[in-house]
Amino acid sequence: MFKVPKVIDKIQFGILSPEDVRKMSVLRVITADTYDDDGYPIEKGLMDQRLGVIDPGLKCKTCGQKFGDCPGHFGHIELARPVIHVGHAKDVHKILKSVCRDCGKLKLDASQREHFQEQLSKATDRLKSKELVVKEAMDKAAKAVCPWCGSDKRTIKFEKPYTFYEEWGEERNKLTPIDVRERLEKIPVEDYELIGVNKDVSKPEWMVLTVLPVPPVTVRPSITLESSVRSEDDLTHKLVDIIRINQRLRENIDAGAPQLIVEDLWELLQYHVTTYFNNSTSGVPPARHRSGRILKTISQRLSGKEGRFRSNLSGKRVDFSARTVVSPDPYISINEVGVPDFVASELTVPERVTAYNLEEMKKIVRNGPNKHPGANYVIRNDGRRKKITDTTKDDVAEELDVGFIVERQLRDGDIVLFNRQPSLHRLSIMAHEVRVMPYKTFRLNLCVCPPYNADFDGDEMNLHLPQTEEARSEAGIIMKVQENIISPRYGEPVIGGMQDYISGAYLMTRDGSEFSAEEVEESFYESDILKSKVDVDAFKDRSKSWTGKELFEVLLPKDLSVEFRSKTCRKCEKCEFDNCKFDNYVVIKEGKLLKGVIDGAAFKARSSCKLLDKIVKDYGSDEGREFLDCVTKLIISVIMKVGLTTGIDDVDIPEEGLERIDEILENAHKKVMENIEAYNRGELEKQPGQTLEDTLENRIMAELAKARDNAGGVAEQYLGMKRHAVIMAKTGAKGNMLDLTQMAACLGQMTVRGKRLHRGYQDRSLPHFKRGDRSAKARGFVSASYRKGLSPTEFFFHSMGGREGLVDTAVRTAQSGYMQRRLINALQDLKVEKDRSVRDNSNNIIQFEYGEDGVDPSRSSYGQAVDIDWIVHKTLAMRKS
Amino acid sequence: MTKKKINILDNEFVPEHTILTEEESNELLQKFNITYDKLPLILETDPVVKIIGAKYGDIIKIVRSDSPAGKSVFYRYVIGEDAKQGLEEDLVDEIVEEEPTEE
Repeated sequence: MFKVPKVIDKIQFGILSPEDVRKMSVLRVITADTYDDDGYPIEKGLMDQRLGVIDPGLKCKTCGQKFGDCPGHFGHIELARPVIHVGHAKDVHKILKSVCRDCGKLKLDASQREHFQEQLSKATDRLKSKELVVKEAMDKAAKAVCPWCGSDKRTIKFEKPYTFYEEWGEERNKLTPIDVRERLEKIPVEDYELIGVNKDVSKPEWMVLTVLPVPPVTVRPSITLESSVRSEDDLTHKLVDIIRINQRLRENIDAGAPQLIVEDLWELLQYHVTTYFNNSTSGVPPARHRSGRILKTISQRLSGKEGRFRSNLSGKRVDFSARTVVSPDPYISINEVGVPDFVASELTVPERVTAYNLEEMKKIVRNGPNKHPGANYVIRNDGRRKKITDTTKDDVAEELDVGFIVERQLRDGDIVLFNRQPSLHRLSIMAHEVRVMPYKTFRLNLCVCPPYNADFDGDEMNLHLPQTEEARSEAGIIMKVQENIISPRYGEPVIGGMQDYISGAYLMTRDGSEFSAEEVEESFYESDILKSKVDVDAFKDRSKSWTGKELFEVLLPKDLSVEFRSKTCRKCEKCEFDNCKFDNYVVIKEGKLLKGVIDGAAFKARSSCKLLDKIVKDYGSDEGREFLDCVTKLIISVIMKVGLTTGIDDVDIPEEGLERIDEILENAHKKVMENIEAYNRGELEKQPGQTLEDTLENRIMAELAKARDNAGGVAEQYLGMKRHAVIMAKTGAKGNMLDLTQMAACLGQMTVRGKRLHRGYQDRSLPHFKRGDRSAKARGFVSASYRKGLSPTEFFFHSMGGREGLVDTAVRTAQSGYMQRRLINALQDLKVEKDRSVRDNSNNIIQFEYGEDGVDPSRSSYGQAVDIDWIVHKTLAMRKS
Repeated sequence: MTKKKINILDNEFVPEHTILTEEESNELLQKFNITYDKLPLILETDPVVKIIGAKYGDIIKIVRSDSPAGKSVFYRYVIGEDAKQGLEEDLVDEIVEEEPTEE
């Protein structure tokens, strides 16, 4: 198997010393240029060939290896004057404050030192961290006068990002990096521990740079554009600047230039070194490319979403994966995914040739790379890899022997992982069985849309092909779609019927729906249940007609008994249970659907449905999958015969009804005006805890809400189950009655931030109204319905309300995404131990019993550990029989 | 206005807190096979801790009767005010630094 070249035992962080930098350097870089006119790297320049190779074909002058093998080698720059390392500036300031300016000792007396040293020795990470002891010690020292030499107290001021001043009284003195380094050098080694420096790997004075490492060219490769013009990496540009200024600084010092000029250059050097490390340091103008683009320097390479960590180490691009648009296919199983043949012939699985599959493998190899269940590569026993082409395929097949590995193409039945971003929960990646199909989209069963949150308006999804037998079987056992019908979050189905399946089930199973033997035969045939579930003898009598309930019960387990209220239940004051005259109480006894209509309450995804979850939990996921596969196909077949459509006439209301609605709205308007007049006369009574204006607003809002509800109620009386839109709303397929009454009767009050619309112009919402008009119409009450059509002002108000909704969703997704990221970062290492306690990676206890009750929600029933009612029901049923 | 003395232990929202004896403490640590520093923490200055008179180093048992499980037991290790500072400051630092990188 895979051999590990090197094992990391531990990682030690420290600060590079100047000696270390020189030791690891292969050359001192002194020339600011890169290439000469012939395009040859300049000796001792930034592109010196000793720093590594970036051109294929050349050999490294240091290690002699080729491009790709040579890791590159560091060089160094000797700085003419030291500069502060910006990354350490804050620490330098803390240290300067707490050590004596004369003797360099930490300004703590012997007893204080002893106290802190003792604290350090017993510090544990969580109760009292070492950092905290150090911080306390340094804070104390910073306020003190040196107890060792008693030199007078001077405060050190730090001006971001890298300037230090010493202040005493009115006077102020700038500390140059040389001064700073001198002071840090004076600190005795015994004090290192107390200022938070590990004496084995660091010295504080190394925070001031005297030598700068030059990264290998492999880290900053130059790219050759089409016009054979070389373009250097941003880091190289920055290093050029540093060397150039360094050179000028040195020359000026050597020539004895005036102090002022030297200081200016020194400052410039500090600027370049600073931006070389971090080009977004606050208080420093970012260094720019000639084109005005801001340079990407070391810090920018590492941090943020596009940085090395988040984009290259936490997340990588992978082989054996595919991505394309998804589209629906109701005729494949929920477990399957349709993969384009195009994709299938590109993705391969390594399969070892054995005595048992030799012939099969030969056949596959003979197909070559271009005929579907073919193979692309063969790895022979000597480890050589051979590409299969149309010309070599027969020879390779002949040569094939036990022990070879064939990289065969993806074929039907292979297990693959399927994923849709954002991968918010574990159901965003599930295992599917491959079904190779023509055309170029991934095909997906509609029942699996909810967990992926997929629709087909252009969504793309990813497919990954596990490469080992272990990985495939593990994925098949625990990640298979059918194993995830019940959500691990709250124990209810997330995979199940939606939209047409729901309304179709209603149309099929409602009282009075009947089907001829021919129709039933056809439907069963189309939904592949003719052979397995139905006795052929049932069709001998061609004159017998079937009720929809009889069709449905074919799919139920033979010993299932459940009772529940259907979604269409009218919630009568006194429930008649199995005598329900609206056929809304479902009774299933021993696999027979005796009463009731099947709708959303039975098998709708993401709802506490009563039938699907029982089948999955009591009969297993195989049974659950089969039920879903068959029921959906059957319903599609039936709904195509019965027909379901909706149009504007579904929300038409007879004249008489419209008059009643108008009257309700008219009365409401009057009442609103009465309230306003009462307010104007000052007769309105103040509600406790509210201003007079609030009272008025609340009264009006309540009045209008009531009016809308009443108008909706009137509309509902006319919207019977004959209208298909109503069927969809009442069965839970799509929409709700509120949407329908908005279409048929009245839209109601538009709001922004929970208030009636009032802003826009001075004291009014639109110039169509008088200033200070508080009437319903002027403050965004839309009395029209969608059916009737909105007046221009109403239309404008409606879009105001709509805009708020849009903004809210946009803001919400951004905020919840960030919150989720933070939560994941905080909780990712938590784990439930064998004793059911929850602990983090350092074994700290977070919860003594998982979730305080030890219940695994994925095996719970709607969050409860046991479903008592269901157990009682089953036991009673058993006793009766 | 005169200050009214209220015993917060009487409030129905305050769960039952008890100090474990040394014996019980050892038993607990043994049961979970941990040392005291792995326990959840509570401040010495926490109002309830002050009232029941728990000191630095004690372990407090909290029985909550409003949890989804009906009754749940929790244990906390009492720490001093000084140990707290670091915990909080570190957190503040992190958040301030990470926020701008997002977006």
